[in-house]
Amino acid sequence: MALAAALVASPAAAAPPADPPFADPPVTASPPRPAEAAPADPPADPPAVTPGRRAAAIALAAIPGLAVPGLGARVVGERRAARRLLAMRAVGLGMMVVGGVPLLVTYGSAKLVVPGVHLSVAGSGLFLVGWWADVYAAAGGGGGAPRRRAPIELSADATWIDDAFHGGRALIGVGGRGHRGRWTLAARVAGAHDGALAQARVDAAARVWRPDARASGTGVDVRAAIDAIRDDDDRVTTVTGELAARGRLHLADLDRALAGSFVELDAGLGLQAVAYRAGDADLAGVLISRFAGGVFLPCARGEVAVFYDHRRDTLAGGLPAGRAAGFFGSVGATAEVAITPTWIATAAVEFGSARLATLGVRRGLR
Amino acid sequence: MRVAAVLLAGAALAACARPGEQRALDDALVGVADDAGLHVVITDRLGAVRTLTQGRLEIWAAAPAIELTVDVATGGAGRWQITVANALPDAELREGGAPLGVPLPAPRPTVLVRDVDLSSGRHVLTVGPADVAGPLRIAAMADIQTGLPTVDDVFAAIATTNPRFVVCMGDLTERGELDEYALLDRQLTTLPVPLYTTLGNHELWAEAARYQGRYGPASFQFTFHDVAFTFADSGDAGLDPIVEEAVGEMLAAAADRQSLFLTHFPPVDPVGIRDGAFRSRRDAQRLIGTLATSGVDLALYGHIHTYAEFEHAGIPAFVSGGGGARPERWDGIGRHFLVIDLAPGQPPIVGVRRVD
Repeated sequence: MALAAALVASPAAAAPPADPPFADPPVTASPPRPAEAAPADPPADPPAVTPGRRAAAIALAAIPGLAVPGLGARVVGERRAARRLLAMRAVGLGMMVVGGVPLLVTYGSAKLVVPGVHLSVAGSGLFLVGWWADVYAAAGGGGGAPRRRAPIELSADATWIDDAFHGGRALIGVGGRGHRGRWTLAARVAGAHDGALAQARVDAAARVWRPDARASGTGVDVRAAIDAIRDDDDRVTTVTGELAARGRLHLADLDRALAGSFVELDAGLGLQAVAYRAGDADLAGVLISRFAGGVFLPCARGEVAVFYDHRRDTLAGGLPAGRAAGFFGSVGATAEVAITPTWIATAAVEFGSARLATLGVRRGLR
Repeated sequence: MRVAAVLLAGAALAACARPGEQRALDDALVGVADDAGLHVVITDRLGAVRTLTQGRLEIWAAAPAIELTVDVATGGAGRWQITVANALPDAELREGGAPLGVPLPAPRPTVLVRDVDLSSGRHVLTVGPADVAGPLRIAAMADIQTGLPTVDDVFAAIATTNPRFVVCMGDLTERGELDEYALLDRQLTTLPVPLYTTLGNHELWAEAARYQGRYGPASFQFTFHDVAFTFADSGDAGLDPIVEEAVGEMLAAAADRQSLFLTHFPPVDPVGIRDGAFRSRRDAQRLIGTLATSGVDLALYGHIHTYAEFEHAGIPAFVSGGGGARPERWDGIGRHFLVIDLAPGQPPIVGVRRVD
């Protein structure tokens, strides 16, 4: 819904899907030109910007730009991008208000939690990523494009988990992922060297919407997952079922000056079963709400993103956020970089109650 | 440059991974004072020494029965006025089992004042009532906050249920300001029984030492009528490892008797998707597992300004955040408190009483 709202400003949103089965973008995919996406709004040549003006634009976008949407883009002459960022951040702010104010007024009424938190988190995502995208546009952008993933990928990774209760623990994981048409299926198992912590996860996703056949990276997936964690140190085993929608908007669909940057929103629900060493098992709901903003790397070699995840049932848990402790989720960053056409290096960090760092590789099979 | 910024941000986040650590360490120093020729230690930190000056010792009791070890130096020997606030109305000051000192007029039933002649040397004093067994009725509440100016309404309603004492799961104040604590002390004068409490996240808006210096430790345990009451500091939406280890040991020690666990944040929100609970659900589940293996009979929480009855790991649990703070809307409860009847060999019976 949030993504759709943001796309109101997108010319691509008006284009009907031309090709129902989703195909990944070609490796050589380049940012869509406005002429392709919006014939009624012909592009102007990128304005020439002096280094000094660009530096000023970046500074203005970074600081006062938090309050003045699109300031950086406007200073470098990207007025259309500035307008689109203004619209995106206005939508985000509106969602924060619509979702957050009722929660504040009712002091967290259980009846309003699902729409309230989803709107607040998604709105925060649009607002903050819109701010960052303005800095990106002020800096001249990167023009990267989404990387095409191989039909089948195998992966291996190592995760270091550090928390106040267990100290450091290492998890070694292996997994695989395949996709055909609109469908994607992925699985991963991971375990600690001493066997005290083990995790298994299966993800399935279907791309249910994309704006057109260009495969710019914009689209909406419906995802379902089962995640099981056995933690002998904590004497707890959890199994969580998840159902969520994930939308990604390549901001090139808003304006050429934003090509290579994207915003991603997740919204959904889950149900977690917990078994303890003693006592009855419990069932508890999980609210899945997350946003990310990032950039595609040049030459379609991968992407880098930062994210906020409102969940607190993951290995990371929520940040000890001072007066907001017990409300905030975790923050982190992810990166994947193609080293060769078939080998991809991956990395992730996440900060919550625990701190996680993951390094891995993926091998694409064609 | 960017790498340095990322590392700096990571270090900053890692540095605040244990926001409750210093508070947990400070808890160990509560209940100890040394001045005017007296060295006072409250056993198991079940209280705070509010005043220790020449001839005057004032204690705030954090439990129905407390023990003081008083080492009197030569210069400290003589007449002392010992005041114990937040005491049971029938509590007595004793040494070696015999009443000690001359009773002096007290401003209210929960204050005990004695004129005592202390000789040099060690004195082990106790403050408590005569009854040690039998059925017990208590009241439970939490989340006073902005309701401080009118919390005397709640105290008056509690008084009508004749509890032996009140337990509180934190958030006594809105911002931990000194004038709020002063107002709370004045409001407590309207409560005819003592109130034993832990802190909540709102006490952490200012230095926690303000709380600890007035009301004692945030994490502690006392046993009364063979019922163990274990309070835990979860003011940062979780337990510090020091607190978690101590709570585990206290609960294990109480495994063979009726056991109540009290803390501010519910480990898991009964409305799971809201997550008004511990900041890490995995930490919460580890604690619930400990409660289950320790045979806890009843868990009491606050923080969420509503009333909820639920179970975790089969343990009856209640959220009661109706002490006067801005209430959750549309939950149909408003200001309220719990009345809990405890009897040997019987499961706790919990009722809810509305104030408004």
